[in-house]
Amino acid sequence: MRYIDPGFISLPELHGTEEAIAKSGVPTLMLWVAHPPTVNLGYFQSASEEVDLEEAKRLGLTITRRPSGGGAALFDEKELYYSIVAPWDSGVLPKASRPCFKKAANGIIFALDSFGIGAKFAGKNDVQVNGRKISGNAQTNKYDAKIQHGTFLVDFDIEAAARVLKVPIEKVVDKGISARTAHAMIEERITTLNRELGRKVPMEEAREALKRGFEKALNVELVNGGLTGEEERMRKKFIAKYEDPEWIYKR
Amino acid sequence: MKRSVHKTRGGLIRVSLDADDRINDIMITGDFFIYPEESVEALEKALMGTSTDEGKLLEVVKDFYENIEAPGIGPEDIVRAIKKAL
Repeated sequence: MRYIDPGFISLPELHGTEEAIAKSGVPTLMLWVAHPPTVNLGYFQSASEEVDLEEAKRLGLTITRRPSGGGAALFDEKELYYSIVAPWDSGVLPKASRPCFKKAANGIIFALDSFGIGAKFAGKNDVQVNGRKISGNAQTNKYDAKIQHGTFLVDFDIEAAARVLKVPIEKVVDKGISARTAHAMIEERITTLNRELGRKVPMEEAREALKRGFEKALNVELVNGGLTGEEERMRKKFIAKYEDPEWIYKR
Repeated sequence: MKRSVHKTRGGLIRVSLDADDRINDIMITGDFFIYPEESVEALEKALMGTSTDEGKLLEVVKDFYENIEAPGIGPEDIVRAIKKAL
């Protein structure tokens, strides 16, 4: 399976690239880091209901909307992200939603296991360590292919996330967390690779572990590659779509 | 616009709507997953002009469920979210 390292990439570029790969139909794993720092909305979310837009502006954060559902998250250089794009008939990922989430989550779980951290799939789309989220995941389908992507929290900017994300009270109360500050709430719900290991893990080390985790979970051998000329051409118009304010603020 | 928030196994459903005895305008947002995603926009369109009667709403929402996958969200969840906003 093709492996592409796009390095630092903006969310619209990333989603445009995923869509181009879905159209070309070449099974691909990308491990990437988000730049510039961005609040990424789930497909169905309302920008104003989920994000303190004024605060985001003050912090210089970009707002984007992804093609997949799920919740808003802050994307930045502290975390590592993956995207798997694979035609349904390639056998890389199941077509059904939950089995697909579980298979992809195994990549994260194997990566954490290689650091000696026990993790498990939890809820509808998370990977947790001792009840704390360390990875959030989402998926969509385009051109008879699955696009499955998610976060791997190497580190996490709690401060910025607490300032811009409106954590709905309904979600918090049910998880048994008393309503204190947003900062404390996020800190209780989320953990990171660095926190679990008590050291600062270099991004390259995390990347290698995640690569091996996905090789094992998907039962594939990854081969370094790049986009084809056709994919490069196609992704331009897709990127423009994800950069369009009409798309970003449509809800 | 009237609003509601309804928690389901599949995530939070938020409804904002304008209605009298019929729905004039509606937007369904939240952190759930429904495939294909564009179907939710089609559902919103289908709901506009629909009577706010629970049975009528359920009929329209059930039609929408013919060709979609909505993990953890049943037709009654969507109707519940709409009724809460009314």
